[in-house]
Amino acid sequence: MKRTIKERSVMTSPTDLPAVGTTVVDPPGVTDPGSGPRGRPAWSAGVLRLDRYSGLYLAVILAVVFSVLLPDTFGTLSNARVIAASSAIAGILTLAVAVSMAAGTFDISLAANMTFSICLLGTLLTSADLPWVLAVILTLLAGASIGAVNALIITRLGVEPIVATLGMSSVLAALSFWVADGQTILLDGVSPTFTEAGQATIATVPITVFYLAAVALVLWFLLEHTPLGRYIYAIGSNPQAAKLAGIKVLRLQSLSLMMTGALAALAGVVLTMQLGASAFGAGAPYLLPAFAATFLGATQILPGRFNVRGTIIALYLLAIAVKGLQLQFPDLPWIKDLVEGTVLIVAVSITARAIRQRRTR
Amino acid sequence: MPSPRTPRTRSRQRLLAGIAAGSLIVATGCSTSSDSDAAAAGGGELSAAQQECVDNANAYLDDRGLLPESIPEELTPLSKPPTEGLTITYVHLPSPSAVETAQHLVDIAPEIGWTGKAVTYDGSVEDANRKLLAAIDDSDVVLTLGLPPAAAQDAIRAAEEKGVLLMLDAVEPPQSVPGFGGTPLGGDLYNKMGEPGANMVMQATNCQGNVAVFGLPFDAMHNLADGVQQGLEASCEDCTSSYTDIPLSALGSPAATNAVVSKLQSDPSIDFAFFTTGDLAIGIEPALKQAGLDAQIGGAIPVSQNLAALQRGDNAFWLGVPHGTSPWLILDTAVRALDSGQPTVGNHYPVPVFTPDNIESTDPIPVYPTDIGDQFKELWQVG
Repeated sequence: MKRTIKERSVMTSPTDLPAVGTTVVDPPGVTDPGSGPRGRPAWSAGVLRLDRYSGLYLAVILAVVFSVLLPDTFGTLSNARVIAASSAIAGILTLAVAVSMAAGTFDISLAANMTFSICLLGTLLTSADLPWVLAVILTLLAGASIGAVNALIITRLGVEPIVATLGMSSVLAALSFWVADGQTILLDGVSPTFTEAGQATIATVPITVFYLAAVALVLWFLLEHTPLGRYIYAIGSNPQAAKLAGIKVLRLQSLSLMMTGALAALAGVVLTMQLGASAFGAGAPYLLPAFAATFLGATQILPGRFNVRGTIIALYLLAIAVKGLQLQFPDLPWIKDLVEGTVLIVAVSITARAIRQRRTR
Repeated sequence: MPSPRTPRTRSRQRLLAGIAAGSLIVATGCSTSSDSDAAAAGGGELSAAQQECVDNANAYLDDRGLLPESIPEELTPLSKPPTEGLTITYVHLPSPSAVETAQHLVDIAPEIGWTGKAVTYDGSVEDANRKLLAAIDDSDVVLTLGLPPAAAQDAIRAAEEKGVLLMLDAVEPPQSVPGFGGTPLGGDLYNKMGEPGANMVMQATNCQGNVAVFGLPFDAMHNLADGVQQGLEASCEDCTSSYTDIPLSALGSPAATNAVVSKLQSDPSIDFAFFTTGDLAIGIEPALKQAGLDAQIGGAIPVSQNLAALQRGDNAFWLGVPHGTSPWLILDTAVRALDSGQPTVGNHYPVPVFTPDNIESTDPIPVYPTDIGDQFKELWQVG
């Protein structure tokens, strides 16, 4: 049987996930979750395709259960808006994680990048008194530049991504403090259109949800419907094979890290617009949920691959679960951390298990 | 957790919400309408007990005054001017408020002929102790805030041995001079701040408030929350309250806002959100609007953003602990401990109550009394 999705190469880290790329021949008995009815695992047989859409079903079930249990708090339109809006910024950052993971690298400095972007934007708007559109553009460029520096350190100097981006996190924390003097900056003097761009609603849906949708659409098209996306997945799957196939591995990994940096900065920009203030240190709490949703997303839609649709499903599955539990147990504010941490562990475990199983086949 | 923070509405009741959905919706509807009616109708629809409660709150606030014109009368003159030429070192967190307070302290120390120093520690107990020990070696007075005495035992011993006054903002009483001999901004200070807080809440809710208090997992925050809740329990029979700790990791981020919104969503009858620190309320107004919630907002220890919201009329009140005030209280505790040779609790603070009607500026946070430095220097017999 000749197939287009398979990877059985030696993987050097948990981020080396199987993905699309090379044309290989499957040995007997190997199944591909994404290859059609005959190739599905037994447990996922049927029209429900639990192997791909279990997260979606679980999200719907949770939404129904919480709506029944908490009809006047969870099952309301305003709560749906809260869930949608509160996940939008985290969603942009989550997609930023997915982009770098898809290319077989990762960036844990993106939360620090987000914080730095918030501080930089606040300073550009107040101290430098720049027009907000220009300030936003400069902030996005700064975010992308941070990604470029990460890429340089990782791809040219050969520093492990976790070490490089951990160090970058610390550097960015220092820069953030320096830029903003450790202060949350109130943006009262900035044009009202700036905060309107973060607080407006379209048909009662918060505008930040549309920002997330736009980013998701662009990335989905880029990763799943362009040669560039296929190259990125091929690199994430097996950089050596991709290199032998003529793909410019380092260049594309650098590009993905720059995209990650720019998206992290975008998350900071949107948050600043939403708050009407550049909140010092606001990026840090997003790191864990972003990675949790990304790994959970890699078990959905295209299992074993960091993909946009799976990431969005995972994001909202997490959001629904956290919100429902927060409303059910309002005096346990640590519920969110507990859920996100547990999901991260479980999702990574599932992904790693999938990788091990593929290796042994 | 002490009983005053126990939520009145139990989450278990909400487990039955599916069965009792109709009655809950009716209850919610009644609650919502009564909130807005009460605010709109003033005292006309109040019961006798509620009216008495509102009158008492008004009388308390009138008597106390919102913006202090003098420092607390409990602070009496020193027996003699402070000894000149001493060095006070503040070992502080790298947080913005701590940095600002430290800078003010360094700036005003020369007023009594002292030298002020500020040293930052990285937030770890290990680094705090290291910096404290270093400071004890070359200072006469050493101060750190936010570190419990139990975590500073080495520093306390070193201060005793080297004749240094060590000050911590602890709830626990100070022990000896030299050694751990002063608690500026400590003792029951924050608990006492709860009294004007509770009266402001009673006034704002016409003594019918369902109040959600939010704070951070620190003794000072808990004491303040307890003070507010105890004040409500003592004087407002129709008020209810609950307390929610927000994880420290969420401070300054939308994670805190989400936790607050979830709490308010979970009980739609909550009509007042009291924050024991203003950092937790940053960005709360748009979040509440998005969730369709209309609870009033107020609290203590505001930052400039909170006061800006107050100025816009979006918040009800804030109990101020201005960065321009605290250093004077810190110095006062130090000079009193050295003057008397006795452990000194610094629990008297001229707390301004900012409202939309009296807030004049937001950055820096206004200091009251406006001549606080002169008043302290008079007590200290300097200048």
